[in-house]
Amino acid sequence: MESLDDYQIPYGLMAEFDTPAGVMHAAEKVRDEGFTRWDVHTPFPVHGMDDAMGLKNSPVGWFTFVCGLCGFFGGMLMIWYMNAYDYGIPVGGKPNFSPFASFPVAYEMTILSGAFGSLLGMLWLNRLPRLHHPLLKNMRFADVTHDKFFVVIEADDPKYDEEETRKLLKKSGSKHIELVNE
Amino acid sequence: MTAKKKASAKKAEPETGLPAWVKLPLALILIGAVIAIVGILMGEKTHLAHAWLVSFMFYLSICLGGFFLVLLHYLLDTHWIVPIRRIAEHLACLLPLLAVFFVPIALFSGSEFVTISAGAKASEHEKNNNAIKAEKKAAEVHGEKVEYKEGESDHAAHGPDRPRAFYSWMQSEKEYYATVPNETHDHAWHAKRGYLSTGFWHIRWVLCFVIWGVFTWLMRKHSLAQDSDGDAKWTGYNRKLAAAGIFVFAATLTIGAIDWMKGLEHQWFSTMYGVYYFAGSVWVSLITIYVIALQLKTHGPLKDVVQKKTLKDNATLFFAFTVFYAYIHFSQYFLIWNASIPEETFWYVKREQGPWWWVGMLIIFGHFFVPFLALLRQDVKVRSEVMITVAVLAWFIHFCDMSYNIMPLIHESSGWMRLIWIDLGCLLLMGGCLSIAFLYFFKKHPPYPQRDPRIAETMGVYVKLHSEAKVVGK
Repeated sequence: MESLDDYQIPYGLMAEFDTPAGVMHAAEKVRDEGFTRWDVHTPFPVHGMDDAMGLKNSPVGWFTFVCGLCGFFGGMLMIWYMNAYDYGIPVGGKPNFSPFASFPVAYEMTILSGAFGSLLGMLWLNRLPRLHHPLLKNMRFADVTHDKFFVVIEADDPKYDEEETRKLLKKSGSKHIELVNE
Repeated sequence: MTAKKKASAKKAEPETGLPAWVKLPLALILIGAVIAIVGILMGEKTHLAHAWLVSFMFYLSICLGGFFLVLLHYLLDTHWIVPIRRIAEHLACLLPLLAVFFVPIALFSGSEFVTISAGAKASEHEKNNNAIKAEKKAAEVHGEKVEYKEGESDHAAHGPDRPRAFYSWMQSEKEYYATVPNETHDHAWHAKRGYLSTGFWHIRWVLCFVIWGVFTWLMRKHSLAQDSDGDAKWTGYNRKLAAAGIFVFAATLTIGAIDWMKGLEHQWFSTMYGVYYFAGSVWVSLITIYVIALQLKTHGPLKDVVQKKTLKDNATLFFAFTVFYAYIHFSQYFLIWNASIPEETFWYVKREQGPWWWVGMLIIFGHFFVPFLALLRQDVKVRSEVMITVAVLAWFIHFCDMSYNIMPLIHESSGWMRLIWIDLGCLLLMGGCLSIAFLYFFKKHPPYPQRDPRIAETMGVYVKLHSEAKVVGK
């Protein structure tokens, strides 16, 4: 007889921990095993977690930098076009275009587009916004906003093997491990 | 700047046992003194006096920056400053000693020995003529009765070849009170005479050094007392001192910058000058502390105390001050450029002539664009070869910045470049003396705050609280 479970696709293994130190040591083990598609969920930021997970510096900075640069030169170009080229406005004997007068506005444009670049770059890299995440229907996972710490290894990780991965998580000290479906 | 760098590299000496390096500051003093004497013998009194001031303001920057970092630590309770706080405390404690270098400036402040180079003279004359017209107009608007003669200026009035005073307003003041009834050609001084009076000026500099001495030595005394008994009350005392100290620091630094550097051209106006000097000071001081901390980490007693994080945070604050300085200096320039009032623009107009235009460009790129772009990445902030390169650049640029403020007064053309060896001599002499004092402090006291409440935290060690230990015990 077919059950609903036969149509379920596994999302990954979720392991629960009680302390930040516990989840940190588990993360170090998972990192050393060479997993790539996995994450740690905690109720608050845990210092040193980036290193424990082997995370590199976020590439969001590049979005900020490139967009900021575009904003700066875009701002300069805009002011030159408007005040010097398209419709020159002489003020107080000063040149129609001067980098000094334009700098504050170009600087603001740098900040503005740098901020937009960071935000949109972050959303894009995180594949956000999304309407649903498999972990959110798990009742136990709701404790992540309270006092529990989770390591989740996704099923499509090349190193993922339900039995082996379960063993690894058990060995790293988790008292509760369960399979989460899509 | 060279002196400071070598001095910081030297710190490792007690541990690594490099006896040849102990004599380095002494050698620096000797070379510096010889250069200074040669300068006097060659009759370069004017340049020597101004080079001395450049050098003084340069080292004052570094020491004031150290003082600021100590204040910052106690005000904000930042744990990353703890490992490097003793370095900052020692630098801050050099402040009262700097009075020794200031005494010659104070002694000769009103002496009339300054002669300007020929190129500068002509344009000085022209500038003064323009300024005098503007001043006359201003005086008429304000309904003041001040005597002016067309074609004469405050300096030119005494004959073009007559030397003027180091702080020329002191000369104006003297002449004003010598005439009956009181008369002056120097409207700028006359309008500011409430503040610019020689007696008051002397009181101010004495007060500045006394205040710096009291605050820095008291705060270090408390910090050292904590090393022996570990009592948290010392941190409390220093917090109270820091709360008052930050206001005192702001006031004294501004007075110092205005009285000693901006006062050379008392006709000028800039309300940002104190902040401008502050931004440059903390900037150069942070990178100096970085290099000293790095040396002590690689060869010395701070090996396990200074963390990668400490250096990164230090570099990040340096990076922030790179932007802050650029913001302040740009604002100062921009406001003057925009308003375009002759009483203000003359200062920058003078600094766009001859080599000073290039020095200005050097400051724009070396003080902002190069360090800003170089330090944008996070990982660069802990790479020693990059940071040391940036430090050498920062010392050089800060020296240029101080020269940019002081030297255009006496050199319009290449005279500055020709006599730059005198500047180097002053830097070596003062740097050598200050290095000796710093090393003396450093050898005498523990290298870092041994029992600061935050020392374990900053070293990445987690110490259980009593309450936690009990729970675990159950």
